[in-house]
Amino acid sequence: MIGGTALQSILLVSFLLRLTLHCHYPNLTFGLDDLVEFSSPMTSYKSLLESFFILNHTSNNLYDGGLIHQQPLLIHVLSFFYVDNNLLLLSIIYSIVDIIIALQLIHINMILFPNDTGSKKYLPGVLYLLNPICLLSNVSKSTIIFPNLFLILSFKFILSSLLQNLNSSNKLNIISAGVSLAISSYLSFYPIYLIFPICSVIYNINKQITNNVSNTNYIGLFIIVTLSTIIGLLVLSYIINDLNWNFIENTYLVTFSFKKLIPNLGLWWYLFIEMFEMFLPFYHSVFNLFVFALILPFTIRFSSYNKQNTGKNINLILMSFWALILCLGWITLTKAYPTVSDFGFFISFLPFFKPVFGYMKYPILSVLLFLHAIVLSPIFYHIWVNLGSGNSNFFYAISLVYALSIACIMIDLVWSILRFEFDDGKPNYNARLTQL
Amino acid sequence: MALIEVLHRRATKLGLLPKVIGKLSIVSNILVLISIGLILCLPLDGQYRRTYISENALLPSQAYSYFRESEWNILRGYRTAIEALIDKPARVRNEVISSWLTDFGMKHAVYDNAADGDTLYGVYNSQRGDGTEAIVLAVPWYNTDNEVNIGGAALGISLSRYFSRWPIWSKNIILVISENPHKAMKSWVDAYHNSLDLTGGSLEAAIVLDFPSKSEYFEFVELYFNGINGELPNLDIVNVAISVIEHEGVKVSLQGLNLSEMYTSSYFNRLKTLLFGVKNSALSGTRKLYGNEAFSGRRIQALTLKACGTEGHDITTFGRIPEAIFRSVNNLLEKFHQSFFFYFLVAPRHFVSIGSYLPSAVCLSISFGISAAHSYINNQYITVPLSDNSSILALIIFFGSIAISFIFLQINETFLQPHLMILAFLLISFLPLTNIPQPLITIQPCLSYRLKSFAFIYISLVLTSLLVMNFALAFGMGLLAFPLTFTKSCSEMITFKSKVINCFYLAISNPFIAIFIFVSIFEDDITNFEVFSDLISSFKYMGNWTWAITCIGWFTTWQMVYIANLDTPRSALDGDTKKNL
Repeated sequence: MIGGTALQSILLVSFLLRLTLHCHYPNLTFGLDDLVEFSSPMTSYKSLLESFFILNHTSNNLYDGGLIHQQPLLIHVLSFFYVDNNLLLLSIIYSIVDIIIALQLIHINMILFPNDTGSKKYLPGVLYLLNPICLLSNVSKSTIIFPNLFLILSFKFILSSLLQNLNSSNKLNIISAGVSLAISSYLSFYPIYLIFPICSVIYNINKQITNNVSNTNYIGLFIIVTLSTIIGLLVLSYIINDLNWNFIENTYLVTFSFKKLIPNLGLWWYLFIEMFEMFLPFYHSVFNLFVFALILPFTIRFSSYNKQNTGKNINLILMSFWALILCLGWITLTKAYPTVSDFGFFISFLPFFKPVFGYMKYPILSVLLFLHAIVLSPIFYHIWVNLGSGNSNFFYAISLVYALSIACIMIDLVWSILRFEFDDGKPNYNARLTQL
Repeated sequence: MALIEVLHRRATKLGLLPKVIGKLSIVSNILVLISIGLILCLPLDGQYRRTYISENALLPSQAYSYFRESEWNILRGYRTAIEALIDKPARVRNEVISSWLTDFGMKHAVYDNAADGDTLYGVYNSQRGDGTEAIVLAVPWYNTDNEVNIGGAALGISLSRYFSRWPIWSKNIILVISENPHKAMKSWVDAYHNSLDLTGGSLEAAIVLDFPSKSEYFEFVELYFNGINGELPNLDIVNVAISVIEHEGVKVSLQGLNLSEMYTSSYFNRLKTLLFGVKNSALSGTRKLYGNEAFSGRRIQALTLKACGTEGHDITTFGRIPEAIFRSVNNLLEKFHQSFFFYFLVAPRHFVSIGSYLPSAVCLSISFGISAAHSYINNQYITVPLSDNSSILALIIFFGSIAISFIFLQINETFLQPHLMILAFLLISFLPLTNIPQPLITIQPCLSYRLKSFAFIYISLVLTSLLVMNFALAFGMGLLAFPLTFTKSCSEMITFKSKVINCFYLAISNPFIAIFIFVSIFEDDITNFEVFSDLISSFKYMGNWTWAITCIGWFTTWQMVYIANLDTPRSALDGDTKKNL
């Protein structure tokens, strides 16, 4: 068990805070769920409630109405906790999930930076718990929290294998990671792209532990476990969904085809408002390719040595983990129905970039951009949808600023990592590589 | 790109960037000057544009208006009958008027509201339309000056009677006779959208009639269109109204200005119209409410037509104006969307659009941002990391100030003592002159700079978010709060005089003192101290956010800068400063 009393009290307080907000301010939950910043058709709490109703009170198939876009297993599992319209159990689940995510962040920090002492050890977790975006997204009961939970569990299991030298528990970690990633991918699809950077993390871990002994079997094991779990989950969903495959169309295909034309913080919805139908397949494929486009480049670039450098001082595991987080950021930036919750999850990993913070060039600019985007986006949405004095361009413009802020953070990080690599892990902030 | 590269190299060679960064406070002041300059430029020839009707379907005054002499007799009849009703209680009055509406076949109902006054309204279902859209003809029984709106009421009823005999309407027509143009009208609009049984579809436009004189004649029309929270009706409907009024040979006055100022085209007259527009929009909800404000926030394009003077044109001319506007709106197939929603009129037929005036408020917002950067960068504490205790303490003070502002927001208008409040804030502002706070609070210089930095970035964010919603408020608030950035830290102040000036800046940028001074100088409608109770009551009843924004945006910033000014120079630190300078 990790943590001192200070940490435990923070965990307890944030758990109680979340529980109070969930139970005593149900209007806050619905209010946040009405904001496009916090809820998308794929993660909306209202559609979750609707699915509970369909499940418990009607004999219809979940997906017949075209309103539900959450996965059948998630709905069935969560509906266990929704007895007699009582929100308490569900609220406890949501609050606990947030605490677990925070604990995983602390775990990861302890694995990656074993030298951290005192309160620094717990910083990532505490920051996650205090982050107002994460708090509000939890209160909005967006179901994005579940794929996030399994994703971070997968990260933790992978990195835990670093601590164990025993092969059997290593294997167990790899299998757990594979299962977690599979569940996460099943719940929101995009995490499956992270299989590549995760494999590179496994590769580098193995290289370090076993000193270049055969390592392919671990990667193979991970991929096999992940894929077979996904197939298993899909088959299970098929069975539980009255032997009907229609959930595929209503969950994954809706995301791919941008079928739900609802304004969101993403980059793509605007282009589908008015487009000739013959162009649709082209744009669908391009935008979906785009999400995948930089996954492999990030993975490849940051997980191997630059040959000119000796690279003795660089922790390759850390580098490949950074690549993984960059991929996560890229997905946050380009996915089909993003919400601020995705962003909140992404920035929770920023503390792990600690060694390169000194290289960052414009963190204040990124913060200000994000701050303005997040303040202005509900206002512009209000001007467009409620007052009618603005139009969709207002909101889209501000969602571009939001995207720019994510892009700024990512570009800054990439630059810092490259400088870190250039300096061979020994920071030299005074060296000037460009004129600017 | 080559040119940019050359310029960039030249700038690097001259060390321009460090020089500019060293003078950020001056940059910030220059931006404010630019901001004011931009506003002053707007009434110049070539900066404003001639208005035009953007939506082709409107076709103002293309149809002949028939509300003429034959209707005059009916109107006179109603007026005589209404004169008899003046002293009767509202219930009796509504019963009598209801019977008239029944006579010409208008469905009617009374919205009971014991607190704000009952409202009688009637719905005439159009013959051609599908009944999903409606145009409102609203008549407050007492107008904003508490005069009985005799002419308006008579006109409203006779116009409804006249409209109901026509088969041309494709939108329902709703006649609303409310007790007053503010609370009662607003509560009716709210009830219409929430609870009323008799409705006529979504309200597209609303025309409020105000004809308080008993005379048969009027001289000119005053047009009011400023909504709550900086909202404006679509420029198209304002253009239609002005074009219809002028088509009838009547002159129109905007923002309650003189006719001579409207119709002699000179730079200063245009500037006056523009500035009055900004002022009235910023104070809208606090000033007199003419009736159109009640329709704000619900996508209803609302105007108030007020007849002024007692001779000239006859009252049927005043009736033909809403008639022609109704005919125009009746043509619409879509909601108003074509023309501008953000604009300022500099003359009845000339306007500036958002693209021209927004930069000035943007400049103000940026200048606060630059001031924030100035207090962060240009002192010896830049090396202190952002995760330092002073930043965290500044954040805690920030949240504390917001909490105090929220408490302030809860003050009831009856509980409020504006005289005492102003006096208290004056005293508090000059408190740093004395030695009283020093033993109680010691603010480290580093914390002082951080506080200022956070405060300015906060108000910059507030102004930016206000920009598009409520330009006038953002601009006014930015200008009045700007003296905050002139305040200096203790280490920069040596003489007693500079301390006095510092406290003076604090005093004049205090939101309450600043609003008080502004209103007493520039606003005739509001008697000095009443502005605060007006602000609070319009926040409570009219959905006007000005008071909330003043408290949470401006007052919070002021508190933070005030606390920052309590910093205590220490002899050791003084030595440091001298070395660094």
